[in-house]
Amino acid sequence: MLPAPLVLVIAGGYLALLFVIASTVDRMPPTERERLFTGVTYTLSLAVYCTSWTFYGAVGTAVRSGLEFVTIYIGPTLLLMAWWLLLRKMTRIAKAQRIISIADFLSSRYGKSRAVAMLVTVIAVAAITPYIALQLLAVSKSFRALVGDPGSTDIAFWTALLMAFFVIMFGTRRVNADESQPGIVAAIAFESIVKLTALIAVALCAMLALNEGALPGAAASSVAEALSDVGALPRDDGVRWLVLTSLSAAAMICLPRQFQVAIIENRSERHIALASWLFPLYLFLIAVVVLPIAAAGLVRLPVGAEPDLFVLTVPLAEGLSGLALFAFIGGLSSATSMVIVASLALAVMISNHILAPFLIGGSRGGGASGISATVLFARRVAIVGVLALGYFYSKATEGAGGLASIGLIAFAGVAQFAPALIGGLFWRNATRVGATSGLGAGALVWLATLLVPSFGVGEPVLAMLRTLVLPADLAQGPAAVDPLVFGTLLSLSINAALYVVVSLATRRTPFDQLQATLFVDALHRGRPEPVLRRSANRRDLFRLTQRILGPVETHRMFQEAGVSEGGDAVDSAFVARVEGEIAVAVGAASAHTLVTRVATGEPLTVDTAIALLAQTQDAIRVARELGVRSVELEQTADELRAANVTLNTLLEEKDEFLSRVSHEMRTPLTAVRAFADLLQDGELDETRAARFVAIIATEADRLTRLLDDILDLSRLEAGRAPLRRERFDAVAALRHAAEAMEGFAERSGVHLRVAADAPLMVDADWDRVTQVLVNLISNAVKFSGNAREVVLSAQAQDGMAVLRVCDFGGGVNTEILPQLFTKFAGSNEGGNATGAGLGLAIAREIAGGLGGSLELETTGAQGSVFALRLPLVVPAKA
Amino acid sequence: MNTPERPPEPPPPPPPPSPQRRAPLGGDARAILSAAGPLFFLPPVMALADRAVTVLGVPLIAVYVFAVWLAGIVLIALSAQRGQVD
Repeated sequence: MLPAPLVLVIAGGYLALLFVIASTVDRMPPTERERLFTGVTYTLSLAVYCTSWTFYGAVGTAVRSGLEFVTIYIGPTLLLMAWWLLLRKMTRIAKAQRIISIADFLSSRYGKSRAVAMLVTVIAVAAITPYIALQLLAVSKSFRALVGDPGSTDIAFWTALLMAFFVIMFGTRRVNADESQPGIVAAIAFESIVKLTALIAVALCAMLALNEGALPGAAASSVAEALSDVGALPRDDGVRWLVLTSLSAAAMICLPRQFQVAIIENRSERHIALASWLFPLYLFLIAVVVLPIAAAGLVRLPVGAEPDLFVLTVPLAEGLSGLALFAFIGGLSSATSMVIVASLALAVMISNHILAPFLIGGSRGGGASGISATVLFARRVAIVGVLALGYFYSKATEGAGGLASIGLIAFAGVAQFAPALIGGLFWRNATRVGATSGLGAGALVWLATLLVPSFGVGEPVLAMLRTLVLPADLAQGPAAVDPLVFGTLLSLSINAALYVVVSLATRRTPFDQLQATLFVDALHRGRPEPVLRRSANRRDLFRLTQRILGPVETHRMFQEAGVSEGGDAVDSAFVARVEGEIAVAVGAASAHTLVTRVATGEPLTVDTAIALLAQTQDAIRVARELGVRSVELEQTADELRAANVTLNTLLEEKDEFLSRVSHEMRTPLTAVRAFADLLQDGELDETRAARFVAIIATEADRLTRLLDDILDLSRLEAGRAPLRRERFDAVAALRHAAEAMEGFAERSGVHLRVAADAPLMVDADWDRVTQVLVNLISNAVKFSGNAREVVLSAQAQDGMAVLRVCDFGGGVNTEILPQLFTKFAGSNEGGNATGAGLGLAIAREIAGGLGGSLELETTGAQGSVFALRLPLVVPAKA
Repeated sequence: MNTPERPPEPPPPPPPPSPQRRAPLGGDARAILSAAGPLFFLPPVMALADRAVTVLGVPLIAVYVFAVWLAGIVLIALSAQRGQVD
């Protein structure tokens, strides 16, 4: 036993430390504070889940029901595994919709329904009050275990009073813009460290005690027996196990205090990702240390010792009173953190959803801060009221039942939110009537089967329900269904069934549909939130805002938004913003009603609701299209880049061509110029003068031919050269060309042999084809070298007339081979008297223009073969 | 701290995922995890580990529960970290 004054001083000192932490954090500059609120802080604040029910009760449950206690921690673990499915979506919605409590969340989802908000608030108060009572009981019980009978000191009362003071101090300073409470979050994060450390310390002590073996007179005769008791599965059908796991998973999001710390106080989605494993790890540590403490209690404490207090009595029995005191502080931590957050969350719900409608009606709006002061006062009253209720509940049920049973009743109560909450996140067609009826009926069944019987009254109703629902052997007797399992399953099934059936049977108003879509599609929508098209007279809106938020805040808000003085209409975005700000003070439902009263807008029809949603969907579509368009732009850019490369190549070719042309023209011009100069000097005899004139004429001819060729080629290339089409025999053209070139060939000592017989009819330009053939023959003769023959052949092949010119000279120089058919390819060759090397280029253009081709088939030391292909005329069907 | 201050703006939600992008590996892993996790704690599954065997004096079923639990935590940690990268 410890002296009471010492314990009181230490406990008081600890609570004072909490005050210091909360007020320091509240006073920090925001930037510094943000550094403090990391994912770890977020995780620790989630650990407000572990109340004194965990701190003391987990060991108690382990002793009574073995491993069953782990369900309370496995449930949240499994829920956090699916954080990306639920928690992320909920935080995103809460941020977008400026949600400040779970009642607000459900009410907003179901068309900002006041009925839903009030129902949720009432259920939460009914479920959480016993839970708060449990904490007060735990504190006073543990105090008694530590110091003996405290005499007239009512520990529960003083705890409740101190907690009320604390919450009012830090939770109701002002109506926060987003309802976040940094000081309180910091304090409960600190408390989470204290309670975990305390439990681990006690567990270490317990392990030392286990080493020493069992004491005579203890509940278990050996350590092994104790461990197999606390580490055994409960001997039943496993339904209770499933129910407890599901209830605790649901509690993670349905408990108002968990909603507060997990959703409202969330600062970043990354924190949720971190907490998704760090918080389960915290729970794991809390649960794993229960085993040695429970076993130690069983082997070291006398039979009949209260298992709910093993955490204190084990260190006491080992003579470690300092450790016991630390454990008491740990228990106090877990109790106070729960009481603080729960009473604050409940008070906000009560003031916003139950009291606000009356406050708005009664207020004249005279104060400097408008209705805010009244709202804060209402919250303070609500906090005191909630704690007072908890205190009286603890007095009423003192001594009855374990800690765990009260906690589980609370879990079953808030689990009534789960169908409407989860359904609301994923099921578009859920209606507010469906949600209201499900919640209402579920709550009533919960009240009758779980809450009222916990006072020890209302047994007949419960018995009647059991006989009505269950078969006789399950309703009573040894195989009777567990009361918690019965109450939970019955209330939740009725709740979920009504929710679904009534939702399917009722119609939604357009506004309900809008809210439903905002919730269900929260993760798929981009910004911005669709805004109801409304406009309001500036003066009316100002007056309303002033009444709720006070002149100071209202002036700031209107000035910030740049809404000018005067009675002009303000736009929808600003109206929506005002509604959001007012909602923080009086709840979404009241705010919506109030603003709708002053804002005139087109009445929300299905069409406008759809149009509203279409706007955001349009935004998404535009964003996607922009993505597609940028891909298209890239493709175009690629094409342009390729075209540019081609153009550059062409430009180079053109430059090359021009320099070649000037070069080709300079040679004859130089000659003409030189001989003309000589003639001008006039000291020439007749014969020489005549020779010079002849040379000038020849060179002029050459120039003319060159220019003709260039002109011809460019016309061909541009497709402007007219190519006539007539039907003739290609062999005849070949013979004609051969005859024309015979003289030239004979002068060069070459014989032209034509090897063709059957006529090959083509549809082409006789003159052009002859031109090509003459060019080819002239080249062949020129490059025949020592060979004495050039063979001209013609044959049909693959629907084409193929005219070949074969020489037996030394072949085409490999250096010029790649540019053979380009302009001036042959001009570098010596002895090119007739052309400027444009011949083959022109020939190929002609062949192409006639739908055929011109190729060098073979070339080498044995000679070269050029082949001109022209399409054969398809014989007309007779 | 009586000066009114506004909380920092919440970070803008990531842009809507483009249809071409596949979910990251972390996404698949965490979906499988959250679906498979509860299976290990179903009473019929746990009954398999409920034998009269002790590990260092602790019943096998307790060892099973805590080991599976811890493994689950490690796996969520891995998938959550991977999920954060994208």
